[in-house]
Amino acid sequence: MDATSRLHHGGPEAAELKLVPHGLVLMQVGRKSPGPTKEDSLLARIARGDREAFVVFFEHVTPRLKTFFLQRGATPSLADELAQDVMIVVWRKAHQYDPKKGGAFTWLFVIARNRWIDTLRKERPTITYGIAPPEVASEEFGDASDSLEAVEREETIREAMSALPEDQREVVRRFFFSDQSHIDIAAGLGMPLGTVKSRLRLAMRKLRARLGRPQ
Amino acid sequence: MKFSPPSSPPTYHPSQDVLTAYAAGTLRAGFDFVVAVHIRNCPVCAAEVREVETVGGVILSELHETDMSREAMTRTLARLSQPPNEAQPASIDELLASARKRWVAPRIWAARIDTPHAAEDRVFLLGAPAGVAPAHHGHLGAEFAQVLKGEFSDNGRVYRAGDFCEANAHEDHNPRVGTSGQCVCLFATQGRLTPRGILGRIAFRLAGI
Repeated sequence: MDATSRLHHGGPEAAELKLVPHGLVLMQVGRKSPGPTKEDSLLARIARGDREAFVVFFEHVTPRLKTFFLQRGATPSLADELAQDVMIVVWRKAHQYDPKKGGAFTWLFVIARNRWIDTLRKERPTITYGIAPPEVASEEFGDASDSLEAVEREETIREAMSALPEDQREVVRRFFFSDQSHIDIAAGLGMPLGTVKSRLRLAMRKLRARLGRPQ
Repeated sequence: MKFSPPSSPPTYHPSQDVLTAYAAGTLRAGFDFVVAVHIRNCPVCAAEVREVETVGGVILSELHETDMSREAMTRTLARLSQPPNEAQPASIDELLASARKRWVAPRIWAARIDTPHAAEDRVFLLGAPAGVAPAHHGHLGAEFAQVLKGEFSDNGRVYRAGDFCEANAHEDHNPRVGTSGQCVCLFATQGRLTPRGILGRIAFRLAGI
């Protein structure tokens, strides 16, 4: 959605903000300014071939990437290796990272997820999954989907996540970070499959509502 | 085979559950290919997937830290200057284009798609001319279908190019191709397809589907 149509659908504040540029609208409705994050600045430097920035970024994110792979079921040594693989992709594709399309951790998540899918299907390379695949930041989807700036979207989701009741948060977390189907999650949490499904749906619906999307 | 993008936005989409699993990377292999093909031409689903990916990003950022091995950094730095050696993954178009047609019934062809998926599952294209009821069939597990060309109707709904159709186990299907011309669909089925009638079964088995 471009700035004009956003204002068109906007709330009461829309009229008075009509002439302010896109970025300012966000500030004026009382949200944090979506300036570049620490990760964004590092990635921008990495894109220019800055090894020092790479080292900092490596230390900043790989311990969490390793946890991601461990939770998906990798052994410690495989998880270590996969986190390194992700960093190699980061080095090669940093120039494709566009903070307007998604935050740094979303970008990393997609790379790590694809790396894990590839590991599971090791016998041959797979197609690239995911929608704004980091490898081909696709232009064709444009920003029609961007009812919010990417950084703000990440921030909003972060807030919404922490507002979820613990049981729903746990289901969402398990769904993402253990390689488990709904059925396994249900077994792991000792609850009926229907409960897991409905909690996941409920949680996702709340997150979507926070983003101002139709449910 | 090449397919042009649908002329109008899709009417039928993958369910929220399917899109969530797709974005989380937990969807059954092969089935995710069908979803990927849908999403490519559906900005609405693409936006939803992106949102779920954002949730993934937030959770990733909040994970606790696990120490990396001592040699991890040196190893990675040493790899930075090496040329990439991994094979480029095949694109959606390449996979669709490489499928080989086989006739499975009069005027009906099927073409297996070479994606990584469970040995008992099937991912294939199916083409049938206007007015035909290609395969009265049932299946043991789930079935995803994405219309790439033409249209078909099933259980009172009309699916056009760009539409996604999700069926569950034990449902019986008797799809019929619309009158507007040949219909081509991409399918993923859990387990072998079980066409009603012995000829259909033999033909599908010969086609490896």
